[in-house]
Amino acid sequence: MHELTADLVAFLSAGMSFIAAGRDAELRPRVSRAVGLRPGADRRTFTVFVADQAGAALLAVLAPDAPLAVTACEVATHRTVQLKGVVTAVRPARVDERAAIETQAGGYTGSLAGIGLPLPVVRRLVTWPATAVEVRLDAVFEQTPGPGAGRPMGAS
Amino acid sequence: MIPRLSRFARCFQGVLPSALATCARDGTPNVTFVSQVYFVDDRHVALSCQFFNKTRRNLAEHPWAQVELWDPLTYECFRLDLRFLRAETSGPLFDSMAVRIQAIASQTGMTGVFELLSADVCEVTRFAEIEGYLAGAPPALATLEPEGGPLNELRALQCLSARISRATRLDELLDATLDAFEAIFGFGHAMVLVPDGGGRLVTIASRGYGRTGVGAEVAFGEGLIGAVAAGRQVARAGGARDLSYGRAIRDRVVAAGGGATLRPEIPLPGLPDAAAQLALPLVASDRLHGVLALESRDPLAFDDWHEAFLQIVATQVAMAIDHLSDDDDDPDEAPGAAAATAAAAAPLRLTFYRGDDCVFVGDDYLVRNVPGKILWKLVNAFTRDGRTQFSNRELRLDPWLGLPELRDNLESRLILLRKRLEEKCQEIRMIPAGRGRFVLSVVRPLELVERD
Repeated sequence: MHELTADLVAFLSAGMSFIAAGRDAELRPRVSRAVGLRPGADRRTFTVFVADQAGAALLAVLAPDAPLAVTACEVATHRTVQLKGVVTAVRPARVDERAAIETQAGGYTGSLAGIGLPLPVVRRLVTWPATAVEVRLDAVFEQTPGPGAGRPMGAS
Repeated sequence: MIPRLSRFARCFQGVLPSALATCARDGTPNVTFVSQVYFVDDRHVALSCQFFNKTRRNLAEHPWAQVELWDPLTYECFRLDLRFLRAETSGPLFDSMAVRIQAIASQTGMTGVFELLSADVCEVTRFAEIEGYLAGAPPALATLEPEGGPLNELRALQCLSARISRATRLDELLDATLDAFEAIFGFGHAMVLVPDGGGRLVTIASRGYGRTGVGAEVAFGEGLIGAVAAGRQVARAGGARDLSYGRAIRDRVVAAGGGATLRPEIPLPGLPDAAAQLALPLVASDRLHGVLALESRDPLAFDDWHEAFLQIVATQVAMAIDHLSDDDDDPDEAPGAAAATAAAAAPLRLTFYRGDDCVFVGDDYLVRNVPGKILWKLVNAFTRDGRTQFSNRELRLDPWLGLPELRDNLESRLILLRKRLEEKCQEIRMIPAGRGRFVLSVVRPLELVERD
């Protein structure tokens, strides 16, 4: 069981670029952009949100006990971490979660505009309807490009 | 059904990082961003391996991957299933991928620390455009291709070729080429650098950098321009974005205790906020004549079409430089300009430092290496003998200048010297006076000093 540090909770709650991956029964990986992430209050769980249509192929292999990896990257600085864990529940995202998802996705698309992409183009990213994937956190890895990428980050 | 990957060339420019998922043999997925997925051919892509990380280990034990790419112009999303085939550690693909990484590494002081270990070639087994990724109609976008299609492309090439062929001197050739880039493509930031014979490249013509452009230097192997010169490979890079990527890696090297292996970051000529760079080697007769470098603040300024088109232009420019460099003075052509004389005024002090062939005017650095020695020869002949007329041939025959017998780059060195004088020392001018000849104009008395 791993626990997120306060620093990582803040990082993961901001407008990062999120990508998620699972795998099918033949161990073929499935990847999709995730549109939001919310660390659990206990810091040992998190919920990642995947847009229903664009993420359908990934969502098809996610069910309780399925392994999941999620990487979060801050576009401006390249700071990146990867979370690994096991799915505990898959459910439709609730209406009361939508505003937070859109705020996070807006932060992400705003950061793309910061590196030269036209905002009207990237703001077309579909974030709703979404599926909430609840995950028990097993490990966190440093993933910022460089020689330390892949190094486990210690529990708090 | 896999469409031709070349139709999706923008996705492979590395403007946006791609999402790459792999799976370990024990079934644990791994997902990471990769800065660029490289187009190899219509059925293959390549991943760059700089560190033997989890992705690489996963591919070695279970060769399946899935990658999401985004079009940086439309933000459309594409998902590719990949099967890892082989790791290439040499050859054309490896070399072309290595240039961009070398450029980042050298500029951020990480040469030997951050480098391409292998080009990991993957077969694309499935391709899907992701439905429902974007909402609404796309906003109107400017087309990247010139209006009018192939006919206009041919006309642009014809126009450039005509300007190049009309040039009778190297500076005319370079001015015509850079002017045409701006007129035809709107490329307002461009420079031509030539080898200085001392392991560096020096800018002899530029647009869009003000007076600081000419004379700017970069060492072979340093930054994109230096890497392109060293590898004789055309390369595109992401400018400030690549630099921030390199700095992130450098910070991780320092955090891992490897700071002692790093060198300081190198300031390089060019726009500090460039979002796209394209550099092309100027090669003719199997010899590097220089590098043509273009920059833009638009991350999508240079696409595959521009790269292919400008490679044709670069070859023409290189051949013209090769031809013009071979031209010696024409003995039938009389020098046209009259000798100028030094008016009575306080003398202008020029100092030549013998240790590094460097000339200062007053207390300011002016020029060095072969152009510095040429200037020193000219001003000595002027003050000692009153000479004002000179020929390229006599410079070539002067052993003190140390020019090679063949292919000496004299013309580009004279251009550099002439432009440095225009910029830093307007009291001395070199005025072309027919092919292979020029006149020295000096409007102040000179005080010449030599130091070790």
